[in-house]
Amino acid sequence: MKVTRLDEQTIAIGPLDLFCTELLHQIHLCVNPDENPAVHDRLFPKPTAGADAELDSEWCDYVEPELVELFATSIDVIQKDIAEFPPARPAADHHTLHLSVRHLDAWVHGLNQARLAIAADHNFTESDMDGPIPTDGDARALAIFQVHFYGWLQECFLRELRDE
Amino acid sequence: MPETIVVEKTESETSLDVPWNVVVHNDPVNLMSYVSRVFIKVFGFTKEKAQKHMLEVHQMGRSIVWTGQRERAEAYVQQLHGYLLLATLEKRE
Repeated sequence: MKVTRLDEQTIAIGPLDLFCTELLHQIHLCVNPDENPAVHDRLFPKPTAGADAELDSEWCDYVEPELVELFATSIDVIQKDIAEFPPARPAADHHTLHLSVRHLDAWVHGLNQARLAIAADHNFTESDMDGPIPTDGDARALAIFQVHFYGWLQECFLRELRDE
Repeated sequence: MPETIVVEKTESETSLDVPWNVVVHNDPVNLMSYVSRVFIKVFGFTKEKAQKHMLEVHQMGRSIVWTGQRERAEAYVQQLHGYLLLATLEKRE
């Protein structure tokens, strides 16, 4: 699988098998912060980390709703880009996803939300992130793979944005 | 003779005058290239300055990326939270 620049406006990601395609469809599911307070705390950190309770509280009331809206915007772009991916025809084991370069910032941001949310949900540490991807086949191993897969995509998209 | 006006400096005015630091903290997930890009976009840093602060975050656990008035510091922290960086503001000691 690789990310390729097709022209000034388009990049292609492929070939994507059904497993990686499913991971793309899970991006929006990863970022729901209501499921786990640790996820919420990571996506919406306090501005003084508790040093100024009044400011932290005001932040929740006034800034957090704006951030919720901002974060949803990125996820919406991703959802629309993959809504009809993979196409029903032709039936195949692998497909290539085409993306507008103008959407890459939203993808980088949405992938980052997903990575941070997954890591907070599983309480990943520096050694989890730096170590080898486990092959245990359990939920935690899958989550680490997912974070690294999204991270690889992020790096590819950031490289494209740097070349802009 | 001009009238003399005595202005008393209140405690709240004093606290507003204290410079505030915008601090970015390390986390194990954000990519280094992403953090550098955010510093360039938010603060207009050069690539070299952005990388210097990014490495400081990565190696020292935190980096003071901006110092100044509280209102602007809050705005910067909000922007950094928008990019999902772990950022806080604190009074400069």
